[in-house]
Parts: sequence; structure tokens; C-alpha cells
Amino acid sequence: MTDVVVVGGGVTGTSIAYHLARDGASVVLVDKAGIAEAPAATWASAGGLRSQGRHAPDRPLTLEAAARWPTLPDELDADLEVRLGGHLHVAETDREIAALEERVAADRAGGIAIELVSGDALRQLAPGLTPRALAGAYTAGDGQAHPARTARAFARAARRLGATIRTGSAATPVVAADRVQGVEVDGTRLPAGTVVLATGAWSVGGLAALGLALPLRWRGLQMLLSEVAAPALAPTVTAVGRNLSLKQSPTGQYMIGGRWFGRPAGEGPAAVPIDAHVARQWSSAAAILPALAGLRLAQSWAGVEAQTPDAMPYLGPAGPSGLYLALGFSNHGFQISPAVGLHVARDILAGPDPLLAPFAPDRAAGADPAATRAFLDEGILL
Amino acid sequence: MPQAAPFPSEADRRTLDALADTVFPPRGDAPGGAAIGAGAYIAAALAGAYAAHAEEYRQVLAALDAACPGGFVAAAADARARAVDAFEKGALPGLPPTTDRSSFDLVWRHLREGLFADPEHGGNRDFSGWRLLGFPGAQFGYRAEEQALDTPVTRAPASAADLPQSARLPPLPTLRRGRVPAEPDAVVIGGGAAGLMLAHRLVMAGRTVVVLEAGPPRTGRERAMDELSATAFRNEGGTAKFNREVPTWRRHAGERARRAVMSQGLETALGGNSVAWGAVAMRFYEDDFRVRSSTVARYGEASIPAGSTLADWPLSYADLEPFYAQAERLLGVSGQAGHPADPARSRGNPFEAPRSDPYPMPALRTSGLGALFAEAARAEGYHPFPLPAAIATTPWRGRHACTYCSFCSRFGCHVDAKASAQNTVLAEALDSGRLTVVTGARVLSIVTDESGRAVGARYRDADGELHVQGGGTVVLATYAFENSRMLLLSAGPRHRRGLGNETGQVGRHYLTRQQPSVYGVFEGRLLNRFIGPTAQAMAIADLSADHFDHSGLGFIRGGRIAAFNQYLPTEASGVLPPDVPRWGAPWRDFVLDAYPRTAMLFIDPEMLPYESNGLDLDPDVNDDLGRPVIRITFDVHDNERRLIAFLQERALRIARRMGATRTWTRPALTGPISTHDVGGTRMGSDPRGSVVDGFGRVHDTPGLVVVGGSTFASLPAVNPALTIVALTLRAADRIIADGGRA
Repeated sequence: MTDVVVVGGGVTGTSIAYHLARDGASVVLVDKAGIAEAPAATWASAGGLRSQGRHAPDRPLTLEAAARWPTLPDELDADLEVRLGGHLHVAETDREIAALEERVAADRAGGIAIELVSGDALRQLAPGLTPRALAGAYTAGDGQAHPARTARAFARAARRLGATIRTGSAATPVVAADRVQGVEVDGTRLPAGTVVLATGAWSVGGLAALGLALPLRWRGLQMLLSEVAAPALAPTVTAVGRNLSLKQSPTGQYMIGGRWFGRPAGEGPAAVPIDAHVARQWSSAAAILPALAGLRLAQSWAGVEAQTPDAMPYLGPAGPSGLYLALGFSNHGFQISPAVGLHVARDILAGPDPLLAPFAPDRAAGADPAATRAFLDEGILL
Repeated sequence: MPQAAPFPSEADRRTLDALADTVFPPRGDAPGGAAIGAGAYIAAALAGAYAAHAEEYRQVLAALDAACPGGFVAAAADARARAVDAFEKGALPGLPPTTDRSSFDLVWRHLREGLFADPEHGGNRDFSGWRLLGFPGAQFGYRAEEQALDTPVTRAPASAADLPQSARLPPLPTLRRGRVPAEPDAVVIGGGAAGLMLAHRLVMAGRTVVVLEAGPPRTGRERAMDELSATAFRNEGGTAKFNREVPTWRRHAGERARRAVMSQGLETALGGNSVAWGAVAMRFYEDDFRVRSSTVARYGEASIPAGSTLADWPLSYADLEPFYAQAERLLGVSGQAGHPADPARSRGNPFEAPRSDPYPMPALRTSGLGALFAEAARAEGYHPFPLPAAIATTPWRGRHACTYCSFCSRFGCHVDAKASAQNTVLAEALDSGRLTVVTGARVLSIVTDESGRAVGARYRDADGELHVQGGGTVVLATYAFENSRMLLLSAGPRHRRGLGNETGQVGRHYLTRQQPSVYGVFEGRLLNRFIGPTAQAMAIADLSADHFDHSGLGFIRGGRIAAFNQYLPTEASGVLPPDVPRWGAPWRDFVLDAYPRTAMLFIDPEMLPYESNGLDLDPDVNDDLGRPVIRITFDVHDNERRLIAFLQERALRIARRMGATRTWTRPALTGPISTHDVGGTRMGSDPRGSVVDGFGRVHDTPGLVVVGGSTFASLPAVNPALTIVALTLRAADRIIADGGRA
């Protein structure tokens, strides 16, 4: 019998499998496609490492993760394209500066090393920024990494520690006597003490089949990549008043994210970019970084992301005993993935981990049904 | 038995280092071949990838040692030089016997690999070889301003192993789910561009298809940006099957054929040559389809060269135009349409045939070198235009736009900007649920029933087991060589001379491209032709087809001249003017100086079919399964010799006008040296002069369709790929319309 079966080969599932294996558990990770494959969130993610502006319960995890990212490539013996050029959240109006100040105060209280910058200091951090940017909240230790490479590195490292990685096979949890007995893979029963679902967008529907009435939706999120440009922007830039995330990747290309929805495509979770969103997404980025106006678009894509009404993941046991959820990261699971893996492994192997308590799936029971309904029904056009 | 001494020994390594330093001697500002790691590279390769050459090296090193009193390592520089001089000339006593190349050819190529291939292979230590040339290696892409003339490239060199992966690309889809249908509507032999494009068309029309692909699966991105793994050097790029059945070649009947040394290997893996192609995606001209009649009409019957079997195609440009348009959309072709009535109003090709649609995407940008060529060509009275290419210049169906990296022709594309079967049609075809692709399925013959109808294919799987795969229509979609070979190897009671060969036409009318390029070195300038895809080129068609008056010239038809990009260091170090030797300080100095300032004007001459050229089964040479390989009988004829000389002279004029300070022409070769091999199963209306009709249907074998360049009736001065795809789409529509009754 396997101690833990992890279903889902994204950065969360692979991190959990790695940390479980590191802690001595026997682990099998199963993904019906492959590690970090299209159109999953890890494949599509723009790879921002942002510790600022997160929910309060995230902060211990984000701090721990931020401390770990600089050495994670060595730990996993892989190039993760980690670049710690900082994160800069900018304000373009006085009212927005007030929002920045709030963020800085809240983050500082949570132990995040964040500073408010303006004037020359702001220009030095990001020389190409629009003159309209008045101030920014800056976290120097933040940056970017490659999500799919990270997931593949976690999976390889887990395998080196004895974990089994099975791709190309769907795994279905088997429940009997209100207890998870394991999973069924390719018609064969794989008994396990615990089954972790790290199935992202594919959890929508799957949870209901297990008798779990947790509100969860998936949305296609679209990203843009410019042609190669000269290195000019070190930090990742977001803006108080814009739906935007902008960074320059190690190739010199600008990668543009934000919460721009793509159009659902096909039967399962999958999405394609919406042209009208591409145009607005690009022009929003060009408004912050005017040099973009002279560049061409090189690629656009959309991946699928599981989202919860409070934008916090479901982390913890739920439903039949032995079932464990790690899903619904709502567009910001990448940065904390090393910490999530570590704490989920502890939670499973050593008993409840207090850091994860705020993410318990049963919190959803207290939600307002109308608000939940509105969240689930929200359209994709922005 | 005493244990054989390990090879290469420490002493052998020292000899290799001394040889590396003699061939590429150190100079004040530059390390020598040994310090760069060329000797160590060979030593490592002899224990691995080049183990098969160990015995030859043992003899070469012994011969070098014997040539110097006290041994090669201890010898003075002039004694070593004398030994290497004799080695190159083949005059060194004790050299092993070789056939189609000399030992020096082999060692020289390996030394160049050790000097200039990616450091991950063990040579080019700390990028020292690349630093000498100013080549920055595996760069994700380049900016437009880096392609301007006289721009020093300041990037730090990088290995392919360290390439960032910012593009988001899909994995290879699952090729086979569950059981392979026993009797699909069609079985397609060959999973290259033609086979998969045809399969896509059939499954989208509701048909079921099984594709039998001899090689392994791949996305096509596996060997991006590594010159050594590409087809020209180690032939590892998916050529496993082809390497076992390389055709033989002779110039004339009566001559004994030798192994054909290709300049480019053929990709026998999923996607076929659609992975490593150069991606020039250009339509034929209107008169290319009536090449014989239009020539006769203008210049008289006597203008057709003696012995030529030149024929019109059994279809017109207008018949094919809709399929060209579809092919351009499927592949995602970038280009600039021409304006025949007023060439000045467009920078496109004014000779271009009428188009029903614009190009799907704008042309690739023009490099500094392209602009220089265009300016000189205009001054010569020509009409330069950017070559259309199946390379995305905008986001295109999930593909990333071209990054103008250094590795295109002969490489898979690292961002799927260059079209392949995998990144265009495969996923959608598989999503239909009606396509099964069986890889590792090496087809041995086409199966016919008692009535003579093709009903399936017999193949050997990766484990050596034999299978018969049925199919309502059998489609043969391998390369030109294998198409003829398969027909000839599929003789049956009703087809004693092979399928399609009732009239003895299989293998006839074979023709292959010659590449008589012109080179120019631009002293004092920086062209940096290592930036940008091969097809990012300005070209002229003024001398193509019948776009100029041939009266009194002594030849018919024409050729295209283009300033192609892509200049990778291992290859470049072998591109030498006739007066530069292959080793020693003069070679080193030429290579180091000329690398960033050499242009190539690539010439694609139109080739004509001749009675005396063709393909048949070699009576003397078999593949690893004991089946005869294809024997190519081919020589260049006088019409093309005169045409080539004319085009080279015109290209030299352009090169000099561009400012070249030293020019030379590639030695006029003959034989199969390109991947533009066509004919062998020529299309035509009359079975006495052809094997298939205009839809690829084999005249004498119901149920059998042949697609690919083998069906071409002629080889215009245009790359064949787009026409292959267009003809394939047309053939697919006819299979659908015939409803399995072909």
C-alpha cells in the first residue's frame, strides 16, 4: 500500500509529492496528461514570484517560500529560470497612492520587506515606466521563475527520492465505507492511505462526484509574450488601477498577464485567448511601459485556473476520510508552492499544521449562497 | 589473449591535440585547436558517438606518428605540417582505405566540430571557439537592430542546454488510443508533411485513417539549436531509418553506383522533413504547369534539350490555386504579395501568379544583409522580394512568432514558429478521434488483392513483428526515393514489374536540385548572417522560369537567386574559397576573419527531366533488412550547365555590387545533394509517360494513391514543399469524393 497518492502534476502536486518523499513517505503521483502540460495553470502561468499584497493567511507561507526560491534551483538541481528582480506595484493617481500605503502597512505588519518608492528611486527601479506612475510598493526579494520547469524539477527530484510518477493515466479516487481506499488507474486499484487532489481546474465537477459541495469554478486566463527586446525591466510590474502584470523574461521578451479571461474551448477545461482582451491587455501594459508600443506580439495563450469565492485555496482534508484537497489557488499558487508542498506533507504525515488551518475546505460552509452563485456564474468578458 | 590497448590512449590524446594544433594553430590572440578542446572532443567522441571510427583513427594517428621521426607529438612544427600535408593529399603511408571520402575529410570535419560545436559535446571549451568567431551560440532570439549591417554582437555565448523556455508550447499529443482499426477508410504510409496533412483532411471529413510512420515520435523541438545533432553532421535528427537505406548514386548507366553522400540527411521520424526544412513556402508560377508547351510555343520544339522528357503537368495553376491558399493557411505562411501590373507598388514578387487571398501573415522582417542585396539587385534591374515562408511572424494557432534565432533549416524550431506537421494539423486530427498514428512501423510492401487493387500495407513493428494493416484506400506518402522503392518492392501476381509499373514508368523522370551558390566576403563589414532563419531572405525571380527572353542563350528555363541567412560555425568553417587551404594558419585566419562578413547568394536552378536519369533498385546494395536500396542515376545536362553558369555570373555581379571584396562560386557539383528530389512517380494523363494522374491515383492500381514530390512533372526554380502540400490536399479531396472507390 502506498502512503499517499497525489493526483495532478502541476507545481502544487509535484511540490507535495517531492516534500512527502523527502519526509520518507511512499508516494505515487498520477497525472492524466503529463507534468505541467497544456492547458493547466502551471503550464500557462506567467511565473511571478510575488510576496506582497497577499491575503493575511498567505503571509507565513509566502515568507517561507520567498526565503526558499533563491536556493531552490540548487536544492532541485535544475534551472528554474529564477530571476529576483523585485516586484513593483504602481499607483498612477493620488487615490491609488493611498491604496499603496495601505498595502505597505498591512504587508509590513505581516513581516514582508516592502517599501514605498517614488521619484528618482522609482525611475531607477524601472527606468521605462510611464511618467504617470507616481509611486510604487516595492519588494526587492520578489521576481519570477518558470512554473513548468519548476514542476518538472519537483517531479524529477521526487523520483530521485523514490516517488513514482505516472503520466498519461487518469486516477479516480475509490471510496468505500466513507473512507478513501486509494485510486483506480487504468482499471487497476492502487491502494493508498491518503489521496491528495491537486487537480486544479479539473477539480470542478470532480469534487461533486465525491459528494463535496465546495464552490469552485475554472476560468481561462490569457497571457501575452512580446518579441525579444533589449533588457530594460528588472521588476515585475503590477498596477493598482489596472488589470495587469508585466515582466521581462530572461529571453528579453515582455510577458503580460493579469486577470484577463480567455474563451472556453473544447469539452474539458481549456481556453483560447480572446482577441479583444489581447488588445486591451497589451494596451494596458503599453500604458505603463510605453516602449511596448514599438514591439510586436509573439505569442498569446490561455490556461485554466481553479478559483474559489474568497480567492484562497482549499487545503486540507475534506469529504471521506483520507481525501485531501490542494486546489483552487485562484491565480496565485506558484510563489507559495514550495511552502505549500512542505506544509501539506507535514499536515498529512505529522498531524494538523496550524499554518494551513485558515485554508480548511469546510470554511466554504459559511459562505453567502447568493454571493457564491454570483461568483460561479460570473461572465468572462471584461 | 592479451587485452587490446584502450583507444584512444593518453599518447593518442596527445597526438590528437598536436593534430588539432597543427590544423588550427594558436596565434597571439587566439588559442589553438588543442586548447579549444578539439582534440579532447574527438577523444571523447571516439569512446561514444564516433566509436565506429575508432579503427580508422588508430590507423591515421599511427600513420602521422610514423611520418615524423620521433613521433608526431615530438616533431617540430614544419615536420608536423609536412605530415598533415601528406595526410590531406592522401599520400601518407599507412592511411586506411576509404571510398566516398578521405580520412582527412572525416578528421577535418570532426576537428571543426570540436572547435565550433556546442560546448555540451565536449569541445569549444568555455565557448572559446565561438568567442573567436563572434558567434553567441544558442540565443532564444534577436532584435531587429541586431541584424543591421556593421552591428557588433555583444551577447555572451550560451549553450543550447541553457536556453530559456518562455514560449508556452503543447506536448506531443497521444498518437494512438486503444486498438488500431483493422479496416480504416485509408491507410497512409509515411507520417511526414504529406501523409499527416492528407490524414488531417480525411479525418476532418469524417473518414478514419491509420498512419504508419517508420520512425519514432517527436515534437520536432528536441534538437533545436544544436548544430552537431542536426542532419548535416551527426545525422541524428530522426534519420535512423534513412541512415540504414541511403540510396546509391551513379552518373550514368553502366557505372557502378556508390553510396550517395547527401548534403542533408532525410528525416525519417514523425513529421518527416517538415521538421528540419527551410520553410520557404512559395507557389509555382503559372507557366511552370505548362512548361513544355509554353517553351515550345515561344522557342520552338527544337528548344527542348535532346534527351529531355520534359512534360506539361496534368493540371493548371488555376486548378491548384485554391489548394495553395488552403496550404498557406494550414502552414501559416508569411509573405508579401506582389503587384504584377505595377511592381513599384509592392515590395512583393511581381512575377507571382494571381492569388485569391493575401498571405496569412506579414513577411519576415528584412535584415541588413537582405536590404543590401535588394539594393544591389534593384540597381541591376531586378525586382527583389522577401521569400514567403511557413514561419509565423505573428501568434498563429498557438504557435509563437519567429524569434530570428540562428537555427532554422536542418533544425526543429524551438518555438514552433516554423510550421511542421506536428504544430499545424496533428493535434486537431487526433482530437477528431478518427486518426491513429503507429510509429516504428516500417512498411515493407503494399498489399494487393486478386483483382490487383491495393488493400493494405505489410509492415514490421519496432519489435520486428510483421503486421498487415488494411485500408479502403492506400496512400503512399514517403519521400521520392521511398515512393518509387515501395512500388517496385510491391510486385504481385497482377503487377509483376511492381505497382504502377505496367508501362515501366516507376523511377523515371527523377530530378534533383543543384545548389551552385556564390559566396562573397565583405572586408571591413559585419553581416552577421548567423542571425535569422534561412528563409529570411530577399530574392529575385527575374531570372526564373521564362521571365526573361532566352533567345540565343543556349538554354531554357531559369533560376532564383536569394541571399539566404543561417551561417553556423561548424559548417561555415568548411566554406572556403578555392585558394584557401583546409588547415594551418591560412585556414584559421580566413575562418576567423570571414565568419561574420560572408554572404551566400543561393541559386535554385530549374532542373529538367531526362531519359537517362532515374531511380531503380540497386542490384548490389541492400538495407539492413536485406532489401535493395534505391539506385539513383543522375547527371546534370548541358542545358542546366549553361543555365547554372549564367546564374552564377549574374549572382557574382550582384555580389560585387553589394560590395563583396572577395567572391567565389561553389564548385559545380552533380548528383543528389539537396532535399529537392522529385519525380519517379510522375503525374500525367497518359500512362505511357506517367505513373499517377493529377490526383496521385496510380494508373494501373485501383485503391492506391501516391503523394509527395515524386509525383512532380518538373522541378521549377521554387522550393517544392508548398506545392507538395497543395497537391496533397487536392488528392485528399479526391479520395473523399471517390468514396473509397479510387
